[in-house]
This record gives sequence, C-alpha cells and structure tokens, in this order.
Amino acid sequence: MSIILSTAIVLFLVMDPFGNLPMFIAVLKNTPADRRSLVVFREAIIALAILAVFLLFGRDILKLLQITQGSLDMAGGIILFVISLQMIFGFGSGAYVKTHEEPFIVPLAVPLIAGPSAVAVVILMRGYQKAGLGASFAALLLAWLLTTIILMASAKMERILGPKVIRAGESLMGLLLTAISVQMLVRGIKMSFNLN
Amino acid sequence: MNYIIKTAILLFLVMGAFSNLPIFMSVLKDVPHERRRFIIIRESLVALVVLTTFLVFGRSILDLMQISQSSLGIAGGIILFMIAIKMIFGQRNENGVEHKGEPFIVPLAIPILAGPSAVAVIILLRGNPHLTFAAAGSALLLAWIGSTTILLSSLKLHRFLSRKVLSAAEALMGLILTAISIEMLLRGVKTALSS
Repeated sequence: MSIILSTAIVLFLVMDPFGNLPMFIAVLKNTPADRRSLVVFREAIIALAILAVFLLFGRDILKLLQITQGSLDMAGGIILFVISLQMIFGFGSGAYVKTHEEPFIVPLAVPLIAGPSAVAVVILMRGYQKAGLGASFAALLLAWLLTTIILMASAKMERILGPKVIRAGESLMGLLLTAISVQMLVRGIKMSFNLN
Repeated sequence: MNYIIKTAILLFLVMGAFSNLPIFMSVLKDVPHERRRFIIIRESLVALVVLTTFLVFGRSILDLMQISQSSLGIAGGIILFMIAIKMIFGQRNENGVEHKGEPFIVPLAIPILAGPSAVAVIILLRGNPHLTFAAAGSALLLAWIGSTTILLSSLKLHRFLSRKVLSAAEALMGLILTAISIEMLLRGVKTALSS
C-alpha cells in the first residue's frame, strides 16, 4: 500500500499538473470553451495509454536496446533535475504556445503529461520498488486521476487560486522533485559501479 | 546551545532578510504607511507557520516518498548554491514584483520568506542527531525573529539604507551562503556514497 502511495506521489510530481496549467490554458485558448474539457480528457487518456505501454513493455525495450537500469536511472535523474530546476526558478519554456488549431497528442499528451521523466519513472518503478504489475498500475492510475482532475479544472483553478499561488505550488513541487531526481542519480551511480 | 546558534545563523542567511528588503519595499509601495507594519508581521507569521509545518512533518513526507537524507542534502545544496550565486551577482528575481494592491501570502510569505531553500534546510535539520526537536524549533524562532526585526526596522531605516548598502550586504551574505551550500553538497555526497 505504501509502495503504491509513494510511487503515485512521485508520478504525480513528475506529471507536474500545476506547472502545466498555464501551458494548457495557453494552448487551448483558441479552442471553443465547450470543447476544452473534452480535449483535455482525450489528451489525458492518450498520455495514460502511452505510460501504460511503457509500464508493460518498458523492461523489454530496455533489454532490446541494451540499456541497463543504472544508466536509465542516471539519465532520468539528470532530466528530472533540470526540469525541477525550471519549476523552482521558473524560467519556463513558452515553446509550445504557438498552436492555432485544436491540439492533438502534441504538445499536451506528449511531452507535457507523458514526458521523458514520467516515462523513465514508469519504467524504473517496476525494477526497484519490487512493486508488482498490479501495484504499479494502481499507482499510475492514482497519479493520472489526480493530474487529470486538476487539468480539467484548469480554467477554474486559475481563476480561484490566481497565477501566484499556482506558481508557488509549482516551486514547492519542484523542490521535492530535485530531491527525488538526486536520489535517482545516486542510485544509478551506485548500481553502475557496484558501490553497495 | 552551540548548535542552536549555528542553525539559527544558517536559517537567517537562507531567509535572506537583506536580499528581501528591496522586494518587500517594492511590493509594499502602494500600501498605506500605517498598514505596512501589520502586513509584514502577518506575512512573517504565515512563513513561520509554513516552516514549522515542514519542521514537524518534513520527515514523514521524505519517508513517504522514500527520499534519503543525503539526496535531499545534495539537492538542497545545489539549489542553495544557485540562490547564493544570484545573490552575489545580483540578478534579482523579479517574480511577483508587479503586484497591485495589498499582498497576501504570495509573494511575500511564500516564496520569498519561506522559499525552497529554507524548506530544504528545515527538513535537513531534523536529520541531525545532535539537534532535538525543541532545539530546531528554537533555532527557527531565533532566525525568524532576526529576519522579521530587520524587515520591520526597514520601515524606519530605509532612508539610511541606500540601495548600495543593501546590495553590498546581500553580496556578502551570498558569499557565506555559497560556502554553506558546498558544505551541504559534500556532506550529502559523502553519506550517499558511503552508505
């Protein structure tokens, strides 16, 4: 149970719904208001499908590419660390804002919800946590549900909380994420060099 | 006693009272004079509550997410180092300065007073075996009183403290902070690799 909860928290932080809120609002600006929640829900489902695929086949893909868990841990840790620094210091990337039509898969589902760090965490969590497939999937579903709820309510959330509170929430989540990313990095180094 | 003072100094530096003075002044510019004192006290109290929450529950949060002390130390050290560099070279974070009307919680209490680095230091404190909960609490209180006093006195002193004096004090505190952050980082790396 505690494995499910801790994994779900890590995944939730990695999906970064608060950080994605402004991006979602910007991308969906030209979409009619009554279609927005439909689009968000569709994108969230696609992201869930992608993450589930990596949960199921991630280890086979790693084996096929001959990537060790240690390497993936280090790579994931570094990516996550860079992302978390962006969350804390807020030099956000406005790179995806230039869409005029209705967004499809890119950029909302991939890479905002199911980004590289989320994929890395999903692949790694089965290796380390000794969590079964059922427990891993439950954790993924839990984190996804929470993220989707926050994103579906994005317009309302921003009106109620205001951009400043969202920004503060993102900073705090970024702080926890730096620690998680360093933990991944250290684990990867130890594993690769047999330092245990 | 020694530990309490050491910890209080670290926390005081992390809260960055001097570096926050210009931000406080610019945010409070539109607020009537007689309300400024009230707002500073209220925001400081909110920050104290947030930091105390992390002091009490920080360990359980870390345990829940299976983060080790050493990882948090490394991460906190890097963040602190970046903040210290910013303090020395003076790229002020202008986040939230364009605030109209009376500020509430954001941006003064969070993230300026109770920022990410202060939270990291607070959580790390509980890992130190020499520091009991009461000692950590009193160190936090001491540092908080210090930074609140400086913020309050800024209302009277801001004619004497010119921008130049403030940025000199900030750079000096940043210099000390870089050394402290490297210390955190090294300690984290050592424990991470030896355990």
